[in-house]
Amino acid sequence: MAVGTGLFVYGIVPADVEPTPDASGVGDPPGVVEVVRHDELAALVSEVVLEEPVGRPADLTAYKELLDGTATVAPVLPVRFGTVVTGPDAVTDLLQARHDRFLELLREFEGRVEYVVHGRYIERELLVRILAEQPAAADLARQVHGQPERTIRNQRIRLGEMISQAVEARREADTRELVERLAPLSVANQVRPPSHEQDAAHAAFLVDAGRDAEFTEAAEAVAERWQGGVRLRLLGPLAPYDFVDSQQLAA
Amino acid sequence: MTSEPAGGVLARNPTSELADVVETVLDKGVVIDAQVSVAVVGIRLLEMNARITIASIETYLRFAEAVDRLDINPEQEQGLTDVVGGPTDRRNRDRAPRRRRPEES
Repeated sequence: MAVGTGLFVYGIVPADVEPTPDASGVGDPPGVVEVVRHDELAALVSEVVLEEPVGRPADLTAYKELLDGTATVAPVLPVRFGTVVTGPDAVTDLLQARHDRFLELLREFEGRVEYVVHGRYIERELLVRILAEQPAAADLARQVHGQPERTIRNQRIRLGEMISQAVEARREADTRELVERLAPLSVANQVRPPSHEQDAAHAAFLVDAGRDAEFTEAAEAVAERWQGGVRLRLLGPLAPYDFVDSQQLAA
Repeated sequence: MTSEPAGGVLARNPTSELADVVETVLDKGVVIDAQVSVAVVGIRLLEMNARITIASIETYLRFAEAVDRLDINPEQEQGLTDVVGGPTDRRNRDRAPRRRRPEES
């Protein structure tokens, strides 16, 4: 390896995984993705120049696309974005140090992919429904309507707080419903924290590849149920980002 | 909840937004512990902050502002009633143009 370079580590896979020739990695120009093998494991890596920090949007996308693409053909353990080691020997060391644990986790992910279901409320419907359910909030809304903001700032904050609490309660109920409906079609689920104040539900599901059509249908059914109130999106198949617990490995 | 025709309601892999990528990959994945010699490159973490604070004054004010954008007419009780009756009209979309009063009063 050239001086001033390191190996960016994307993920850990079984030793029989071969990167496709067109696989491109992080960096500008994009690095060539290679594998470093040890026993039954391999790591997907590419060379990076150490002085050039990675973390551009294109780097994140390259990392994600490589792992998601891999996840559809083989189990993969994502390694935290930004992990760079000194060279192939360091990769071999880390594969050796955790060989059995990594192998065990890879077996759990064999034939499984992650899907993320993310719902966002349609603002108007959300607010109208909350005002209908909460007369006190509706009264306050009438009082502050059309008033100059500086004179009624506290009431506006109070109104917003009431709405916010109502949204939280609805989000909790909707998240529960989403998980109840999709959990039977998945092997594990992980609720994600809301990433937006109008988030309705956000959760990741680990799904057996053979059941992904069923899972998608069930997600579609939820989208239909919620139509008009929530816009639902399905992301995946993805690498199992939400099911790798770094704590498990620290032990 | 609704009797609308089925199909195409679920957005499947919509054009990948950077926010989705960030939420999906950041702070996830196996952490390689210090036993092996690891040099982590400093990540220049974009201009966006993936972790937003949901409960904050700013959030409250945004909600209050959003309520203000609804057609609540404080002079007429009917104004709010009409608005409250609104969501049964499933064609409502949050970005659709607003009218001061619905046609059917």
